[in-house]
Amino acid sequence: MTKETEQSQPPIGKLLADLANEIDGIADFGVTACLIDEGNWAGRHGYIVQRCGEVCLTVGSIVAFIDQSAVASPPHLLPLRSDLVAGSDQLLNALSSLEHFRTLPAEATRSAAESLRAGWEATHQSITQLAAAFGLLDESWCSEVRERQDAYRNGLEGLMTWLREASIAPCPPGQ
Amino acid sequence: MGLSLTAQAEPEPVHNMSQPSGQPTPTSPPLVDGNEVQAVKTASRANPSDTGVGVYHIPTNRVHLIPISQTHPYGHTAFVRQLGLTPADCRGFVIALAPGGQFVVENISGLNRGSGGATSFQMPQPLFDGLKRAVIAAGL
Repeated sequence: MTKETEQSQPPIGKLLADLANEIDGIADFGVTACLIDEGNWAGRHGYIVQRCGEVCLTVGSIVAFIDQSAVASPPHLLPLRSDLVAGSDQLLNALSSLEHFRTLPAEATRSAAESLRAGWEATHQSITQLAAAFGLLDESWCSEVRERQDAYRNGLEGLMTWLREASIAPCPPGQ
Repeated sequence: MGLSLTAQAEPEPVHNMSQPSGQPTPTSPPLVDGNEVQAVKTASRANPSDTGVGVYHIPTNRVHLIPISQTHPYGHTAFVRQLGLTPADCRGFVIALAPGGQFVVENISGLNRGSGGATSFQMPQPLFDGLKRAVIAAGL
């Protein structure tokens, strides 16, 4: 990476911390937003689109950072890059499906919820592995993210509980 | 077949709501700061995606409100942490601007899990009804 590129890039630690914040926000309020009826919240779709956009943008910046530093980096960064993209894609696709759970078959909703949980775990794993690869595990943001993980993991477990307890109702005709 | 949110729990009287910290059962309406209500309304009107996050702290009988954009990461869990409260002592709800321009209070939050509501995202309806009345009375 050139000196100019280094100066124009946000530090990788900040990018990883931003991504952790975004996906924890999805595990909490992203899921809540999906469960609110759009007829009761005019900005619901906009909120979900905005959050997905932020995740895409941040992942893109992390990928660019990895690519730009690839020459000087150990080769194991490239698989981490792929895992990050795959995990975050899985999370965002699942969130988009869950947004429309009212018109989805019950099984598809369950599958989306499982996928959201798996994508969230995979993205966090990538964040931790990238933080380790760049020697950032001792930074305060990293400990903060680790400390709060159980709370967000429990929140996602709440989604699974909700799916088990929610009643099955016919989809409105024509949807 | 899709999933619906129509499950209904047995209603509980408000004066019997559970107190995880063992405090006396509140007999007065929950405390709501009108300035916080106005801040949520202003933020939502400026940007309908910037909805209101509500947290009810059971031991103090106090409602805390904030626009979602001011929580970090976004959501109830972060707001509870920002307030220095314990999640088990709190219940959550959302204040959203509906397409018709009116504000709607929604009984939904990951904080409500295990609180005895109709679903794991809902608090018991009588408790929610009391909070909703208090928020409306504070200027919603």
